[in-house]
Amino acid sequence: MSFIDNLLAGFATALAGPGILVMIGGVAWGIIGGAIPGISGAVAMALALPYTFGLDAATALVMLAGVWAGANYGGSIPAILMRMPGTPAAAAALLDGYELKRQGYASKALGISLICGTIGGLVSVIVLIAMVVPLGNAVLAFASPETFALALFGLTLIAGLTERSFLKGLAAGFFGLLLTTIGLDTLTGSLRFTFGRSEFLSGMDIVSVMVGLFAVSEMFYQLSHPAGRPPELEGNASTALPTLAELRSVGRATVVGTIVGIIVGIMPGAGATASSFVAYNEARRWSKRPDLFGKGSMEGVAAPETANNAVQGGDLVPTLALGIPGSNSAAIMLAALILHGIVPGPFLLTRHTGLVFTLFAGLIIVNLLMIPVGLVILRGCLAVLRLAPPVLVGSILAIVVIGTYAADLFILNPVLALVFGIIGYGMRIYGFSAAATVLGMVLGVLVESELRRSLLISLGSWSIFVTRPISAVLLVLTLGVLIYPAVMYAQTRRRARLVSAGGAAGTG
Amino acid sequence: MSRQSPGRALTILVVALVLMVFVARPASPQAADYPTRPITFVVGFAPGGGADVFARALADATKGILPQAIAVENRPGAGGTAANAYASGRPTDGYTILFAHAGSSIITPLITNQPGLKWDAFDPVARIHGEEEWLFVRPDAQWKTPEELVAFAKANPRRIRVAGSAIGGIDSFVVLTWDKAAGISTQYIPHEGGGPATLTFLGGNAEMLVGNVSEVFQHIEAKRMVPFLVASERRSSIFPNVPTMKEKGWDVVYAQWRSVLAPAGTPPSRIAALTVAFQKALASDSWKRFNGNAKAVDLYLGPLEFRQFLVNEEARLTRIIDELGLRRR
Repeated sequence: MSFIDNLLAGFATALAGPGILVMIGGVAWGIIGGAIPGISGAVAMALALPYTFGLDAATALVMLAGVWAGANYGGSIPAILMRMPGTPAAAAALLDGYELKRQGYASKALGISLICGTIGGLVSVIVLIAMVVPLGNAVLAFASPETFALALFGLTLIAGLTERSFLKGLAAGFFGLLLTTIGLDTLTGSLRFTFGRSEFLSGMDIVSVMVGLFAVSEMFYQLSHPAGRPPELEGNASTALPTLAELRSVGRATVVGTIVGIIVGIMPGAGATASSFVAYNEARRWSKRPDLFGKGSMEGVAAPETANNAVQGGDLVPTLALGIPGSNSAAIMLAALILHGIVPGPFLLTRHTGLVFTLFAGLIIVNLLMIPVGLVILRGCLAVLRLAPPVLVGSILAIVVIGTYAADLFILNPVLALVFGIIGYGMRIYGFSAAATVLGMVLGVLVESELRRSLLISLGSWSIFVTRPISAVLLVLTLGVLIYPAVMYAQTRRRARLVSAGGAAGTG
Repeated sequence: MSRQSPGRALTILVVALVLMVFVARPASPQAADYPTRPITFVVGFAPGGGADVFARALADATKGILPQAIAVENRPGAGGTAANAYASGRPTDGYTILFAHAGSSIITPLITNQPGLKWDAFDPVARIHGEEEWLFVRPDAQWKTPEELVAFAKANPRRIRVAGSAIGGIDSFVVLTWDKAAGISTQYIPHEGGGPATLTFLGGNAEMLVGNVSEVFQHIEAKRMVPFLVASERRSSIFPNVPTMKEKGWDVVYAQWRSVLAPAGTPPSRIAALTVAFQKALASDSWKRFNGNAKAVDLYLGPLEFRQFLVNEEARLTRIIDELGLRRR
C-alpha cells in the first residue's frame, strides 16, 4: 500500500465506530484536565488510560492523542484568566495572557492560544507524518551537551524578563536554579536539602511553586492594591474572539513558535515547558513590537502556546521511530501500546503500519477538533470574568489547594503554594521577576544534570561542548544574544558622546 | 393505642436472631469466605509505568481464579514509598495488597531513612517475576569476548563508558558490583531512566548499556546493539548463547524482581489464599503472553521463601548503599 492509501485507511479506522465520539471526549477531558493545576498533560492521559482497556488499541491511541492535544491548550485557560498555569507549559503564556485579561481582552487571548496552538499542533503532526524515519535518526545527534546548550540559551530570557534591574533579574533566576537542587540527585543517588521529608524526594513540586509565585501572590497583591474590575469595553469586545487581522499580526510569532516547538520536541530531555519559554523569547526577538512583550502582547501568547502544542509531533519522533518516549505524555502512549500487547521499538512502523497510520490520522483529527471543542469550553470559562472579586479570589484559593494537593496527595504542596505566594508577593513589591525564578526552575534541572552528564561522557573534558557542532552553534548563539545588546548599548553611548562632544566644540 | 401482643414480639425476636446469625456470622479463617469484595492493589507508581503495567497484568491473570476482582490503585510519589505509607495505614483484612520491588521496598526506604516503610513493615505475599539485567555493546565493538573487554578496561581505566538509569537503581548496582568483581574501573553515566540511557548509547556516547532486554529488544533485532553479558544465576532463555557474569568468574547476580506485600498483621490464611491464586495465575495464558512480551521470567516465591530472599537482598543492597555512601549515618 502506498503512503496515501495507508493514511486514508488510517482515517477510516480512526473515524470508525465510536472513534469520533471517543476523540471528542478525549479532547474535552484534556482541556478540562489541563486547566486544573496538578493535572498535567501526562497525568490527564494517565487518568484516562484505565478507561481505554476495554477499547481496541487504535481507539485507545486516538483517544489519548485527543487528551494530549486538549491538555496542551487547557493549561492556558487558568493562566490567562487567573494568572494560574494549569500545566507548567502554560507558564510562559501567562506573562502576556494575564496582562491582556486585565486590559479586558481575555477572550481574545484565549482565542489566540486556541487557534495558534491548533496550527502549531497540526503543522508538527504533518512534519511527523512526513519525516518520522529521517528525523528518528536525527534524534541521536542530540545528547546531553546539546540539551545543556539549549537550556543555557533559554536562560538568556532572564535578561528579557527584567525591566529595571538586571541584577535583580539574575538574583530571581538564580533563586529558581537553587530551588532545583532540592531532591534526589539522580547522578549520584544522594539526597540534597530534603530536610528528611520524603515529599521532597523528587524535588519541589514545580506546579505548586508556580501557582504560588503567580496566582497566590496575585491574590495578595489584589488585596493590598485593589485595582477594581477590568475596564468595561465597548460593545462585545470582552467576549470577542481575535479578528483575522489580529491573527495575521501574530503570524510571525506562530511560525517562530511552531519551529521552536518541533525542534525542542525532537530533542530528548527538553520538553514542552522549555519550548514555550524559548519560543516566547525568540518571538520577541523577531517581533516588530518587542516593547509590547510583558505588557499584553498577543504575540507573547501566540508563540509559547504554539510551541507547546507543536512539541507533540516532535515528541512522537523518538517514540515511534525508536520506541523511546520523547516525554512523559509520549510514555503514556507507549504504555497504552504495551497494555494492548504491542511491543514498541524501531519495528513499530513496519510491523504495525495500520495502527501507526491510525494514530497519524487521529492526531490530525483531534487537532482539528480542538477548535470547536475548545470554543465551547472557552465560552463557558468566560463566566469567570463575571464573578465578583471576593467570589473569584475564594474560588482561586480553593482550586489552588485542591489542585496542588491532588497532584501527589501531599499536604505539603498546598503549603508550598501558600509559602511561595508570600515569597512571590515580596518579590513583586521589591521588583524581582517571579517569571525569572520559574524559568530558572524549569531550565535549572536541565542545566545542571546535562552539564554533569556531558562531562561524564567526555571523561571530564570541557571541549565536548565546542567539538560537537549543534552544541557549538547553540553556545555561540547564546554568547551572541548576551553580547549583542551590550555592544549596541556601548555604541549608542559612544555616538551620543561624540554628538555631545561635537556640539560642545561647535559652541566653544 | 394497644400494647403489642407477646406473640408479635416473639416473632420479631426470632427474625432478629435469624438475621443476626446470617448477617453477623463471625469471620472464619476459611478461604471460602475470602475475598467477598474487590481487593485493592496499591501501586506506588503512575499508570502506564512498568510497575503499573505489571500490576494490571497480574490482576487480569487472577480473573476466574479469585471470586473477586483485584483493582489497581495508583499512589505515586516519593520513589514508591508514598504508597507504602498509605498501604501500611489500611486495615489488615486482606483487602489491601502492595506492589513492591527492590527500589520501593528496600533501597528508597534505606536511603531516605524511613525504616517504617521498608519491606519488613509488611508481610510478604509472593515474589512474582523479574527482568534479567543485561550488558549490551554495539555490533561493531572492538571486543569480541567479555575477557577482551575486561583486559582493555584494566589497561585503560574509565575508558569504558556504561550508560544506565539513576545511581541507586539496580542498573547502577550491576555495574558497580561488576567493577569490583572484575577489578576494573568503568565510567558509569546515569540517566533519569532506561529510555534516555538507550539514546545516549545509540548515539555513540557510551561503549556499553546496562538494563533490561524488554526496552531494547527491537534494537537488538535491528542489529544496533548486541547482548554481551547477563547478570543472572543461569543463562537466560531469551539469549541462551550469551554468557552469565557468574560463569566468567564475576559474582554479579541481580534481577528487577516484582512482588506483592500485604500490611503487617494480615491473617495468614488470607495471605495463603492470595499466594495460591497468584501461583495459579502464573500458569494462565494472559500472564504467559504478558511475560513473553515483557521479556520477563517467572521468579515465583511463596511467603516463607520470599521473606528469606528479602532478608538476604536487604543485606547485600545495604552493603552497596553504604559503600556508595548513599545513606546518612
